[in-house]
Amino acid sequence: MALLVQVVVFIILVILQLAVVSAVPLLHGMADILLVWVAAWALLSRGRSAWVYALAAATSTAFVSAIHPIVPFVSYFLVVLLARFFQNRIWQSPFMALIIVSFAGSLLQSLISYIALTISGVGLDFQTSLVQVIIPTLFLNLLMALPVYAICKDLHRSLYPYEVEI
Amino acid sequence: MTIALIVVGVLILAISGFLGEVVGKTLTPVVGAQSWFATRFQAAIDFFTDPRDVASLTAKNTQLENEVSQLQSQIIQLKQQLSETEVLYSLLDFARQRPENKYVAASVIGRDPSPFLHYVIIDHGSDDGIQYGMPVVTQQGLVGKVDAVTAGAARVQLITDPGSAVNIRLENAGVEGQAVGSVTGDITLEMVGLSATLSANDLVLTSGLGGDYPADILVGQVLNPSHELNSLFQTAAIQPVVDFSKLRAVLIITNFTPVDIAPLTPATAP
Repeated sequence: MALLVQVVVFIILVILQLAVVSAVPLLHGMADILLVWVAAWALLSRGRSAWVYALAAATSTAFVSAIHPIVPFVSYFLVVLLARFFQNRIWQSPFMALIIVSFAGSLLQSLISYIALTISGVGLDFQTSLVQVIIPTLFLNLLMALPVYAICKDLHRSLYPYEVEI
Repeated sequence: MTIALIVVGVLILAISGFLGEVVGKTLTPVVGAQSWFATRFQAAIDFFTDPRDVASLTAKNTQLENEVSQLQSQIIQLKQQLSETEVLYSLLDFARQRPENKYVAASVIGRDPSPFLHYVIIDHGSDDGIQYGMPVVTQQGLVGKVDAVTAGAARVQLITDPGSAVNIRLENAGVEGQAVGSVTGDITLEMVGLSATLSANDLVLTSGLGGDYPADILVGQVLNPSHELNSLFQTAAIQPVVDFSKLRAVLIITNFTPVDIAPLTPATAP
């Protein structure tokens, strides 16, 4: 049941990303709801499901996007790694951890994308990319972190209820 | 006897012409009393029945408000359908103007999730005859080309994409060059020699060179020609004719086969 719900949620997220989030840019940056969701889920869960989410998000993004497939795979798995790194260190404030992971993950994803495109021969001006794409993307991802965290936490709690000690 | 006197009196009054006046004066207080009574009675009726009327009026008002909301939403839906129809009609007009081409109309259903790239996803794929490299246009002009295809969908690289380069010619200047996209979605005119005279508002059309696009598809207009010192080429911004932020429906030219000139390109020396 939990797996089924997660699959449905993931499909909804992909549709939202392609149809809605990608169509609402800030300057030329756009939020990555999948990245923020993977980060939030990785901070809330301790099992392998976050890695599965990262794999699914990376596969779907690699399939849909024209960017080199290595970019989503590296960036989403890095996000889970970062989340797991911060999970134990900032455990008292998971939302703060999500902000840090979203910021670092978005920055890494943008830089990896920039490097991949530069290597593949697409001429990108770094300053323009930074001002017009990377910083707005970071801002939007941080803006998305709060609602995504709230929804993710509710979903995680409903799928995996906490044990109560009597 | 009394009745006879009354009848005689009435007859005398009637004959003398005073009957109407007497009757009027006699009935006026009665009518006033009737009016007073009726007003109070109606007030009493209203006092007891008004609460029920308010409730029924409130219900009626709510019902009417609901109907107004439904009608407003219907108007919005109809306006949306009308605008979609207008888009489709304009696409149809464009297709009729160029009968030499075969078109497949498709809706834009998504955009590339990477902010560095300018691609859209359309709802038609190889099942509808769409193949890699086919040019994509709207009634206004060039949109891009098909970059990847699945059975039911395709990904289109827009001419604003930083990886896009379209061979173009300027209508008035009569020179050729390249329209190159950028990460911000701006299109720049490049590779135009110094001898050419660039002027603002000159129309930019596809040249057909390279075999990627058919010739003479409108791309945009020249804006702000510039020539940097010591540079080998002139540059200019291009104002595209297509509004890529509001791209909803496109036409794919299905009878144009792009030419792959890669085998003809000389290999680079080691």
